[in-house]
Amino acid sequence: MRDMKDVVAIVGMGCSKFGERWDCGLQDLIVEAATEAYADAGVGPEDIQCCYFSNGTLTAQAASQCADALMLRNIPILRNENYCCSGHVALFNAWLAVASGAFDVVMVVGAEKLKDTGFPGLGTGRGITPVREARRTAPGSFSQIACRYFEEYGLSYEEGRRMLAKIAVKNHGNGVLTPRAHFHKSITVEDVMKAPIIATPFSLYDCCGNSDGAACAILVSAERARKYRDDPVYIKGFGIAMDAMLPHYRPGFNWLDFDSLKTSSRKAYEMAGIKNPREELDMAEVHDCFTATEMIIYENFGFTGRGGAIRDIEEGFFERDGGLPVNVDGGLKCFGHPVGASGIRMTYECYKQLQHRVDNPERQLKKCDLALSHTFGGGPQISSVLITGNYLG
Amino acid sequence: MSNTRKTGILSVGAYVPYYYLERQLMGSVWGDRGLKGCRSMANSDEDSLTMSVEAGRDCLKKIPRGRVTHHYNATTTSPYAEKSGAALISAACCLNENVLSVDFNSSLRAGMSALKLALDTAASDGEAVVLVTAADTRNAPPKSNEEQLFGDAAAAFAVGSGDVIAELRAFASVDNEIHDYWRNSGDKVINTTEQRFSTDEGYMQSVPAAVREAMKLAGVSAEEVSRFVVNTPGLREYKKAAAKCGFKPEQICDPLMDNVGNCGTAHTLLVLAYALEKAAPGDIIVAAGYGTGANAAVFEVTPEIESRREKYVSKFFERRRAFGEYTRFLSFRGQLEPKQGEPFKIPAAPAISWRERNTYLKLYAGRCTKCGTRVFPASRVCYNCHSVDSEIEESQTEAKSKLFSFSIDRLAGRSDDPIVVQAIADDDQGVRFYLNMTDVEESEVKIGMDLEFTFRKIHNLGGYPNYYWKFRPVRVSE
Repeated sequence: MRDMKDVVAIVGMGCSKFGERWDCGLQDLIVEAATEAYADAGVGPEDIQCCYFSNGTLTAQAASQCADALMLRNIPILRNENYCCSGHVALFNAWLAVASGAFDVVMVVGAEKLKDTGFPGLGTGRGITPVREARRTAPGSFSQIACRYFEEYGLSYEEGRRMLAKIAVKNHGNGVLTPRAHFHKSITVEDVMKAPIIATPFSLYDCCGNSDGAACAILVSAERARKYRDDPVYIKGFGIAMDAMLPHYRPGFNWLDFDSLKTSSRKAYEMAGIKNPREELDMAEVHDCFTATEMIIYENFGFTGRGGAIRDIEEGFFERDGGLPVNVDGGLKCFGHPVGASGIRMTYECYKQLQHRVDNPERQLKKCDLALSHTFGGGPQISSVLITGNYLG
Repeated sequence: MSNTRKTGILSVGAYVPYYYLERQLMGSVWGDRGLKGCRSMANSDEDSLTMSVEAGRDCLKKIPRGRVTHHYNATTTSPYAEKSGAALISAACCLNENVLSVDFNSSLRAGMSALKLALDTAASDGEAVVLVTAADTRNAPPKSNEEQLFGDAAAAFAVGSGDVIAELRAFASVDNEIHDYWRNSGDKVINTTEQRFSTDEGYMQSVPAAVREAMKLAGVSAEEVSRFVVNTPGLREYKKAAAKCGFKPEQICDPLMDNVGNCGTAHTLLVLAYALEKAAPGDIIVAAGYGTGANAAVFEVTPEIESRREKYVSKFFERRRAFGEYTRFLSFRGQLEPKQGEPFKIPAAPAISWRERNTYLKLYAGRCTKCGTRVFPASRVCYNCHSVDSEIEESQTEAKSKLFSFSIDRLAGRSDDPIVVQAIADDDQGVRFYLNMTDVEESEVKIGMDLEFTFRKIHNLGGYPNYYWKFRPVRVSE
């Protein structure tokens, strides 16, 4: 296999305001993100040779919404849907398309319009068959991680909830500093504990925002990157892994060790040459669809040892001024989670942090050269890890 | 084929739902006092077919399923006007596909009629084993006495030849074409006429006529009868009917009106099951069922009862819980339309339901013959060793499980019943299941708790009822 580290670079990115965008349709959001990315890279639609469009919820519409919004034509514009990993998988495809040499300039667009459904959540019946998973919900599934974690480590329901609440408090604190995030509200552990329960042990504040939004990236080869800008961001590692079967049905599955999380991160670390992610990474944007998801990612990604999340959360290791800042832009929790846009939005935060060009200087990390973005999708079944850096080698 | 062996009841099953409603509460919401006692009520995920499945499975614990040759189901409240409910129950009870599944509908006497024809079937064929199931979930107009008097329940009998626990001695029937209780096609609730007319010219005429004829055929006198079993329209009518038949009060079996209610076509069968709990060898039991006429059967209890005696019905009274909200009771029964919940994501279709029938209805899990991995649902390719078509499919419906993980999901359910316990559990053969849990209190849900499977209605996507299995806590100790 070819060494894929530092083969492709990101030279332009854009991200819409996330939130309840009643004023915008899907195409408006796409235009908002793409216009910023064009300007950032110094290119126009005529320069785009191939486009990957990421969206989770449209059915049987191919990439027409993307093509129509941007009036792109006569090039491959390809739809991608891979649950919450849709954005990362679109980036993955673009990365391969550039690396193959088939195209010089490839664009990735991720967009989702969740607020036009008339319902506040992602809905019930999220399975493959209409009967077996008729009442399955995202919080009802991801909460199984917390249930087993509390049991495994002897945490009472109250203790476990307080631990998870600290993750929500951290991400809300970061979201306040992020102008484009959906939510700007500082909260306390008590706020989380008192909020209505959605699915035990998750209260409202353990669950991410259900938002509209779009994000965009423009990729070229690392060799040509500096023709576009002085501070390109290089793709250093990319790992994607899918598990077979919903975890719910997997024989003997413990809900604490997800093969997809472990494999995708290991592949990305190997490619990027990372031996100790806890020490080497400067930041991580991980899939905090629920607080317990972020917690188990710490452990499955090797940010901490098995069972180590409890202490690291307590000590603030993943806070913005901690040893490894996680979700410095507020994460899915506060930035919001328009499914198809999320992986690209996370990568946008990495990109801006690596360039030291974050929109609010208060949020800018002092040292940031190596960053990780990650999405985790489905029941969950698929995990995507992208490692980017602001240097070659 | 003639059959010289005894024919009668081989095995007994019953089902009384987890919830009951105090009649006082039902009265008080209308500013009335309410009748005494309580009525049983089906949960939001139950109907007469799921309750028949429960009673049928209870009955089949004592009889190998492979021996069942016929299945007769009686109900006046099938969710289908056209389409067999019996065949669905046969599937969920994992009976052989070549059993004769027959539907007995419309009549409140259908349960007793099904039992009679089952006994005839057994009499004509010594190898025949007939599963009789009966259940009802009848609706009456809100605020009516009948709303309080009706109850939801099911009963089941396996009927055959040989080592029966109760032998049929005689059976008699009398028709009485009368409008006392009826539902016209399309009616959601029963119609009634003047109570005195109904009782005097209907129930009080037909029950004694059928009972006297059956006793005459059996050659037994009223004094020789140990127990008189009968359904009853209200809390007292059965006493007058019994007296008219010549029975003393102590001969009458409690018709369960104080704790179940009139459970329609299942009523006499449920009370007969209850009577058998305490029956002794040699006892004569007369069972009568009223409904546009009456049927009456005379049974003689055999010594076999001793080894197969159970608390067939009363075991359900040990595990029940009062339901507190009358409005939700109405909503569960489709008599009040609440705010709609979120739509489901995936539409159901007959082709999918049919293709998945072994998974949905029989809970088939796969066991890989190459590596031994057990998995639900069964898969073409083994999860562990990737062998193709190596799995043997086996029904898990009678397995017991232990809860591995859960979430009490407060928004996942229907708008009138929003809380869903999302449950992940391993059965005693190591098969991992993900199902919802029903008939459970939040405070009971604990990792490691004992669970069993129960057959339930899931939704009406596709324009028809969709059924599947749920977990429920094991409450009845066998």
